[in-house]
Amino acid sequence: MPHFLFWNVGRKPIDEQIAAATLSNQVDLVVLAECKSDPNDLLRTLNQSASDYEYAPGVCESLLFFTKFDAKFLGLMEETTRISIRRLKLPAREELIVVGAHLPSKMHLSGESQIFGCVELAKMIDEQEKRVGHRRTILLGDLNVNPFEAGVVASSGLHAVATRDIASKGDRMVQGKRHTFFYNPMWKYCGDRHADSPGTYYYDNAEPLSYFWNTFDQVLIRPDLLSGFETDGLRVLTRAGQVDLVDSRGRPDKKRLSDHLPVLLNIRF
Amino acid sequence: MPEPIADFWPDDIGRSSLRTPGVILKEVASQLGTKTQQVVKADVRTSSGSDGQFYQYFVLVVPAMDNYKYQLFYLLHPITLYPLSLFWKDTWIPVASEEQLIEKVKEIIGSPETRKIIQALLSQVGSPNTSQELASRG
Repeated sequence: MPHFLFWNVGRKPIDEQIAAATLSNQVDLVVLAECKSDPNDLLRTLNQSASDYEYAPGVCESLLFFTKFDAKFLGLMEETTRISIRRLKLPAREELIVVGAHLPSKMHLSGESQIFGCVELAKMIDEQEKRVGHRRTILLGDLNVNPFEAGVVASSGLHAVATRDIASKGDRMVQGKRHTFFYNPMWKYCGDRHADSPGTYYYDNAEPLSYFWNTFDQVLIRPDLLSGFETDGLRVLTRAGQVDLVDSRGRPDKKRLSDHLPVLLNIRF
Repeated sequence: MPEPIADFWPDDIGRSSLRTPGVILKEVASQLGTKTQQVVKADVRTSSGSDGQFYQYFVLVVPAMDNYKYQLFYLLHPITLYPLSLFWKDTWIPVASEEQLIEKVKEIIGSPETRKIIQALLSQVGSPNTSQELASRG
């Protein structure tokens, strides 16, 4: 079953930890945001014991893609400075659209502009899906908004819902227009109901409204791919190989490593 | 019998000397292909939102890469055209007039970032001559 990893590495020089997270989870496709490493250096680190990985270059400056597949199977479709849409065409498998995204943070844009960013991303995905004639799409990214925020949930936004049951309906009509669902399995990472982590990013701001734990790093799955996704096929990683990614309080160890935790997706397609 | 209502419409109502933001972007877009031997072209996509705004996306297109698109910037404007908002480099930029829009577009397409992106696209296609030519234009 192919494994996908997304990690906002927070501009930290943590190639060893990226390699550890990748190799210990046998990841097939790695998408990194805010990675300032030279792709060639990182590739050497990934391939220190076996030359399994390739760099799949794009023009999008916010995201780096590395893959265990032949990089030529990961074709570029459309990009912006913060979004990279690619088609993964593996032999003897159905094609997949893989979307990487790193949307602007709340520090740089208003809430309304963040919603607009999600709407734009949704439009780009829809257009590419129409172009290739299928909606076998996964999105991995730091959306800088939580799963419950309007840009992620609204029908004109990413339209990502919390349950497989609703997403499985495929789409819904809203004001005369059909909108396809995404399933957002990250809802289970909103809070401390399970063993991994209460979110992917911790921010303790001195304001009346503070979520403390946020789940900005998300994986969204189109209904057409849900049959290949098991409930335990998603994890927020708190360790990379032998290295703890969290501090003694269970929060991302942003002093040494990234302020975001990586997200691992296993999906059959 | 009542008298017919006079024609109140101004004589020049059917004539417009205005260039819409979309037309300006299309003119700029049409110039890129000749400078890259049509390896990298530019296009403008227009859509209208339910909020009454018009969206104009300035995209680079690489036909040899299965029509790969790179969205360089976009703007949204009301039916009255100005003031409009242009989104580039994670920032919303207010644009008050046609003159300001032309200045801003000139700045964007002449920026080091845009040059780097176009050179990267040319390299992906494997067009060193065009890439060097573009670089030498300084």
